[in-house]
Amino acid sequence: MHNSPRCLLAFLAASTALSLAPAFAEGTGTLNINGATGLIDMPSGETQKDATFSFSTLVVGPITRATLSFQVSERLSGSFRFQAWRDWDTLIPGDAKESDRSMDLRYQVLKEGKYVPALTIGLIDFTGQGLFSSEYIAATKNLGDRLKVTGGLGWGRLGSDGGIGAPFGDRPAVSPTGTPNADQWFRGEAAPFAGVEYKISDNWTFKGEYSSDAYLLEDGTRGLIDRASPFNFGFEYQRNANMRFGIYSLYGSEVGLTFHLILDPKSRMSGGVTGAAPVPVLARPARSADPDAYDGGWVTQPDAGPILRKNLAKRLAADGIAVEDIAYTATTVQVRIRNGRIDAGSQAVGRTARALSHVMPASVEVFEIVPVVNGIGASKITIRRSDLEGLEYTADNASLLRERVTVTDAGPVPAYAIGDEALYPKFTWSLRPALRFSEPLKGDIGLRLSATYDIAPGLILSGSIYTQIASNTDLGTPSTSPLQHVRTDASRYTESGNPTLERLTFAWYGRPAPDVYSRLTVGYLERMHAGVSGEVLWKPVDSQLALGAEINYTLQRNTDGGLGFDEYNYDVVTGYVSAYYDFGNGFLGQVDVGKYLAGDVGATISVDRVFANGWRVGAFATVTDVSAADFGETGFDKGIRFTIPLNWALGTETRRGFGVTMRPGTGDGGARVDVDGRLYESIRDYHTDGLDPDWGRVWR
Amino acid sequence: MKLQACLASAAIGLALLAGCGNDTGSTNPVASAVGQMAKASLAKGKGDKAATSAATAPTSRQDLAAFGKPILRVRSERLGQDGFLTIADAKANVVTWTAQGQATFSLRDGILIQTRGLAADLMSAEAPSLEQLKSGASYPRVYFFLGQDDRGTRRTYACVASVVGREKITVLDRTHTVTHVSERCSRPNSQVTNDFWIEGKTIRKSRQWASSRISYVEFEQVID
Repeated sequence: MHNSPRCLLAFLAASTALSLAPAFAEGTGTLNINGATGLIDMPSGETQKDATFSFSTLVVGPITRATLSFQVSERLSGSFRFQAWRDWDTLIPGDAKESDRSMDLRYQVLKEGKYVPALTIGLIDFTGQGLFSSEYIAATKNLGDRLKVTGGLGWGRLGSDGGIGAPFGDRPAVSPTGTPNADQWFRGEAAPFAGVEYKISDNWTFKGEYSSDAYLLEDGTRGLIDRASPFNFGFEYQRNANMRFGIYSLYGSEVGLTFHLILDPKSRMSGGVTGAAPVPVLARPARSADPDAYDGGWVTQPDAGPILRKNLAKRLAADGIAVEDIAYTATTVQVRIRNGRIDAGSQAVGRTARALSHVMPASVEVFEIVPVVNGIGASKITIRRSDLEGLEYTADNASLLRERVTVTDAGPVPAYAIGDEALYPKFTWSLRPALRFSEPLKGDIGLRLSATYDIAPGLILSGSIYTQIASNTDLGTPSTSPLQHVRTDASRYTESGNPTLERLTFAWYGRPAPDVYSRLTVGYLERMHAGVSGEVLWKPVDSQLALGAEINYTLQRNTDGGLGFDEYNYDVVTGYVSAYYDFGNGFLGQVDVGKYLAGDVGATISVDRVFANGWRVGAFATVTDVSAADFGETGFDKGIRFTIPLNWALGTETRRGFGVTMRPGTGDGGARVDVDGRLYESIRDYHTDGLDPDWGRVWR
Repeated sequence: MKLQACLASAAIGLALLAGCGNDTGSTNPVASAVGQMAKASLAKGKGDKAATSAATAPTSRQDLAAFGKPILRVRSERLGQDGFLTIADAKANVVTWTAQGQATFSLRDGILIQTRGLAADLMSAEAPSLEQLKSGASYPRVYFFLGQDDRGTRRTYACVASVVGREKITVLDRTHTVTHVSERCSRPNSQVTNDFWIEGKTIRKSRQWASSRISYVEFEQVID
């Protein structure tokens, strides 16, 4: 009996493999009040469209819930949920407010067929405090175009009302919390649930369900709500592709309201890549018609270099591209560019090639374009000028050009390169509004003054100061972590450091050998730690695999955001070896093994789905030798992170984005120093795995 | 909740405000949004005099002829545009027309093969020749776009061109006698019909499909 849940999982996995029948109806489900695909409170067998990213909110009685969900692949999806209960002290004295964060995973084992329903197996709150812990199997079948019928079986919370027995044995208590509650999965009382979804019109949907969640915690234990009925029903209104509203009668006693913001990272809000059209390629005269134009004698002219560099820089300035330097012979030109604005490496390369066609004398046949990041060459894209001319108006010119282009290691700066004296040293600054989240629905807004001083290629002095304008954060309860408080004093840093010196660093980036990149950063690395951070990365331009090593010596900073260290008097040496792997289709994996800030030793594994347009959604987990009890109620460090590029949302030509990392709980174990400019992400855009997915933009 | 709502609205407000500074990492979002609108206006703004006058006033043929260069009128219901374009580039039989360099349309012998600067651009196309259109040929037509997540994508249609007949059309106060050719293209669940009004070797007028979002664009060769 002990292995039964595993048998069930094995059966479900096998049935997935067998279900090769084509899908009958595209099973795109709607979201429920928990932000997961489903009915009202119950889940369903369906999924969202691949890559759908949604933000859902629910208000019902004293409960507020916010959920982020992501359809990781066609079958797999996950959610991160934040919930707050008001009036928590109704029956039991204590805090008036309680909050919880939880994570879900769902996997669709069967896609809907002509006779077969869509079947999903799911884990709810599988690593948290366990307030929502439940497992389920749900099946959904479309009957015609308008009606969907769902039935399922739930365990845990979803098995708390109308149970039919415990097919896989009793449900043990889980301790400690925060670790995957695998011993509980599919154990204890199981209870059926069911529901219907009827599409009244294109915009309106009716939903009704029989719920198997008894709300024991909210009704019985805490007296927050009165769960008078297992029947929930309500209406949903789809305003447009991105917005859905719902109003429901819940538990026979409450009215619930939901709002879902539904985003498709694959489709730009603007409908396509915005920005001005490129200048057409300038074609050279035919060699037979004008052989003199191809004479390479111009290279001996002493002023040719500065004039060419200036002309090129002038053309590229319109696209936010700076010319670091230019080196040429009669037949080849190498230009090193710094792309400040265009979000796609391929487009920056295309714009540069077009500009070169206008500037370079006809004898120059080979264009070598080296994108430079933090002063170091990331790769070298070599384009033959005749291919550029010949393919400009050819059908499928993107694929044809890619076949003829080579991407190789950037190599050293040519000895005869002509740089721009105005480029170094250079001071840039900005003052921008900023938003910092400490947790879902909590954070502060403020102003960030940033400045960068580019001393020479690869030598960068930079820093930022942040000051709060408004915040709804508070000091909260002091950390009781038995470890050094390398992260759990975050609220103290937020509250007492205003304004705060976030960063003040001197960084040196280098290329010690082909395919090898290096970084050395010294100074105030982040708001909690300062010191020295060194990193080396090996990544051939066309390799899916990259290997890296990092070593840091850091001191913990004072909470006041100033320069001192006497408050903690803590220093530590941390270091990691890392492997990065691009699995294709935008899935990146990373494993880091080493010593963390609190002196603990362990490993971090992370998986991100990266979109060509800059969207990024990922999850990570770190397990170290810190015990779950010492870490805190969430057991070990884990969380999700996402980045939404401004270019995708607003159409603005920018490489900036809005990024958030969320954790179910913060502990001091598994913490890494947060240093800017880590190498892998800096250069990946210009390697083949970064250039190829949206290579078509080379002609944009 | 009130504070949270305040925070959220303040955040949105601030997000809309641009920062300041001297780094060129991005364009100002607000200015850019306004810019997009301005850019979308194909023939407005400073620069080319022909285009400027064309967009701002009902234009007479004489006014346009005075500029002494070829002019193409482009109309798109979906883009909400009606403007006059001048030549930005001509290579062999491909002419690229532009308004202020913000948007371009490339036509091979008058047949649309590329657009740029319209967001949902036609990136390239395998299109028929003028001879194929006139002779009522059958052929495949392939449109290339940047699709989901900016990945290259294509749509292949099976097309048949057929001569509708001789017609008289008026292009900015001038009557032309033309041959109307209709090109019907189909693929599963999708149909596209392009119409061409051909005068000798010139496509005097056409209504051509560019992409799902742009839909059809009308061209008139006003001044040769």
